[in-house]
Amino acid sequence: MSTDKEKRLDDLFKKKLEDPVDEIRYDEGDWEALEKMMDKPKRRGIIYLWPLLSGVAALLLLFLGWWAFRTKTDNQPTKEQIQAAASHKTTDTIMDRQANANTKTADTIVEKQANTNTKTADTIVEKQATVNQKTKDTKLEHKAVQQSLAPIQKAPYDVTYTAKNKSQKSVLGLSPGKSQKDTIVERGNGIYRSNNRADAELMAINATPVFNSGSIGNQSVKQIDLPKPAYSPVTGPATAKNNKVKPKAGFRPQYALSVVAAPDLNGVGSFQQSKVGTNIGMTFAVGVSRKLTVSTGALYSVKPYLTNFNNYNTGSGYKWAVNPLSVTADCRMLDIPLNVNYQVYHKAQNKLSFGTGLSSYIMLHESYKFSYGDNGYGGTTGPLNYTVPNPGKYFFGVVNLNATYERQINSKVGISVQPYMKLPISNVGYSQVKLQTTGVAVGLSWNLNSLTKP
Amino acid sequence: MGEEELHQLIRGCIKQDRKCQKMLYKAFYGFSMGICLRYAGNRDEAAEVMNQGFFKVFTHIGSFDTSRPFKAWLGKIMMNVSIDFYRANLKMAYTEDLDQAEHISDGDIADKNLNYNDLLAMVQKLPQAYRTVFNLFAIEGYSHEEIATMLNINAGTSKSNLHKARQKLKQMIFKADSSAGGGANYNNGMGYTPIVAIKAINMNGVYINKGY
Repeated sequence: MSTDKEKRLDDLFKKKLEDPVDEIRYDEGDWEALEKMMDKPKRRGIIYLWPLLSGVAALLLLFLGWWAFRTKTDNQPTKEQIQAAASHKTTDTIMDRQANANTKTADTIVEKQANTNTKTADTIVEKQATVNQKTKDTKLEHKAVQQSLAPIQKAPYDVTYTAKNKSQKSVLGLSPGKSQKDTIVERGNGIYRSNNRADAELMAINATPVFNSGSIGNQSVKQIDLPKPAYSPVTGPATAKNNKVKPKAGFRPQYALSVVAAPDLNGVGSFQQSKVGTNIGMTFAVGVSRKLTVSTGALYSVKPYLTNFNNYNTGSGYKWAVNPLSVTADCRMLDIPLNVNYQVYHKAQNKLSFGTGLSSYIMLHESYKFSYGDNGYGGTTGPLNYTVPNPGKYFFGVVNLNATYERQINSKVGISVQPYMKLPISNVGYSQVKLQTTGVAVGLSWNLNSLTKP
Repeated sequence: MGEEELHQLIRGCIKQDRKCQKMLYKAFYGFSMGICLRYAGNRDEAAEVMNQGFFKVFTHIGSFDTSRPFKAWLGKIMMNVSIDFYRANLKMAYTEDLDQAEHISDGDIADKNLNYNDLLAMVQKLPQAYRTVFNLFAIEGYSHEEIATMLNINAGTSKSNLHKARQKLKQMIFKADSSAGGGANYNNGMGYTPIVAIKAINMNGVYINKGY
């Protein structure tokens, strides 16, 4: 084909196709498609979100799994407790005692009003004596007892209280210390029972210390102890995983330092009465293989929590005049985690890993506030607060479970989001609670690799 | 559209004003679509590529130098987007023998009464690599060296592809001439529908088989 003819062919197409504006009809649908394109957020597609989504999903799974697990162990004793409390033996006797008490107090209140104060003082002295015998930590108990003295002496309810106490003593024929405790509980039962179901639960709660005290050797003692073994299987795999981690020979470890801040929810037994706490600290991570990272650090944690009184157990012989309904704790501690993380996803700058490990709590401050609520005594009848003078250390008492999404901003700096849970395997704090925590840690990490380069 | 009006629209687009964007889109729809249709296999693909082009225009309009002609800038974006869209196919090897085409008589092709749609349909039926080179050389006016750089191919490949494109187009023109008995409206009534694509595939098949 000659060049001339080629040119004519080209020109034919060029002429007709170069600017065919008149030939093309505008289609509104095309503009709509473009508008859609422009209105879409820049970060398009589920792919971008999936590391975060999977992290959230992992935490949800953990939480649901734990919840399912927890509900079984938690509900059983509660039901049993309610049954126990509502069972014919207790209730019958309560009603009987109540009846006895009411009839007797009518007589005795007037007669013995003058003696009331001295009698209360007597019981306190007795109690104090037993306390001194039973516990070494006398200072604490003195303090607590002193706190309890004032309200007992002033309250007009104490008149009926001691009067009843007396009457019940005669019915039950128990020792003064024990009978006093029993009275509180049973009296509570009598009162709450008359109201509604919710009160029945409170009744059960109030009844617990009676069982714990061991003064009544019935079946409920076993059932209350159930939650403890329920957690113990968690220890096995967690520690087993921990032990497996050994740096591979010939692998140059990668180091990273992170600053972490984490708001979290703290609860005892469940998160139903959870309170928000904060954590801040630093962690140090060593990559021991391409997928495995071991991390440790120190986090200053503020962990407030609210719990029913039945979870509060000082382990001391202190006898409560009236059991508080709930305890609000303010714990500040140093959380020292030792975790192992396994990387499950790594693409471009995004990483997703799951981790587990153990945390040690070094208590820095522990204080408790006791709330009595409207317990039929019209208000406070015991110590209002208590600060633990020498908070303890609790090593490897908490299992950490976490999912970490990390995004590398550049070769040195990365940010991470880490939903986590801390499940107790042993009791923590002066109050010996099973404190559990869930939250999301946000971190800024600094890659230290350049420091280790040869 | 006057120069002042255009600049006003551009200023509106810089502020991401949706009305101005739509007016600019409408004003240059025909021009942009005309470019994309030549590079695309069919109308739907062309619209998709054109929208990608406009998306780039609206997101980068801040960097447009208003002292330069807007139409040229827009046209270049449309061309680049089109090339990028089909870049994966550009190096595809075509093995069909074009000997048959050499026997076609060299009648005066300029005399053929072929309209825009006929010619567009022919270009769209070309294999991607041929079509792109033909567009760049015959319509845009680039040299083989420039095309080679743009498409990251050899200049020789560009020449070869252009030659094959011309041969195929000639075949199509004369086929249209013989089948339509005089030539007009080679592809009458086909319009811009996805059917074009299906037909294009069939046509390609016909030519490929001719060589064996």
